[in-house]
Amino acid sequence: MNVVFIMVEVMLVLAIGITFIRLVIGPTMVNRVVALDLMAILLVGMMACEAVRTGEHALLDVAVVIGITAFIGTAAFAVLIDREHKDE
Amino acid sequence: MSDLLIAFCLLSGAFFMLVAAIGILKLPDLYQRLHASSKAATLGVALLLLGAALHSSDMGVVARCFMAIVFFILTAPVGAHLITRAAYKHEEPLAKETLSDEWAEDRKKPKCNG
Repeated sequence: MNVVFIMVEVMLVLAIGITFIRLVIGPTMVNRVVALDLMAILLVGMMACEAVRTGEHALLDVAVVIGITAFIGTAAFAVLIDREHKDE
Repeated sequence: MSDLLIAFCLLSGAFFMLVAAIGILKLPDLYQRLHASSKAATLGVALLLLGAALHSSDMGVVARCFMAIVFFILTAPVGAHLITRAAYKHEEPLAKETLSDEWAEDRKKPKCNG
């Protein structure tokens, strides 16, 4: 079981690293918003894995809150981009 | 048996999340990137949370996991749609391989019902 946790963590950290590259190079703001959203979802996955590994189920509450925050953030960015467009 | 099932859920979930991350780096335009991030990542996080639900014997934890899964399945398409619509209005470029863009004329026009 320990090997499984190590593999899962390595894959998720690798995924966050790859997403970070898109966050840095992303040609426009929208690309960066998408990368940030994916990063938050990856964090939620990591929290779920940690909850299984440590048996600390309070981490699942943290995961839900991160998910809600990520969704509100994405929606807010979408509205912001929309509004910028309207002003032109 | 249960351990095996949990390990399968966690590993396949992490695999799908890695696929989503690779997709967001490699795909050519924003719309395809969103396709990777909204579908593969949702499946990945759902599998990881299912693993956490299987691990626990406490009913409250299982309910919380399923609430989180339902939440992600409900919000991922909504968020992706909001972002795509904003990006399309903002004239985010499409990939060169795109075959048809039926609103191309419409979105170039100045808006009158601002």
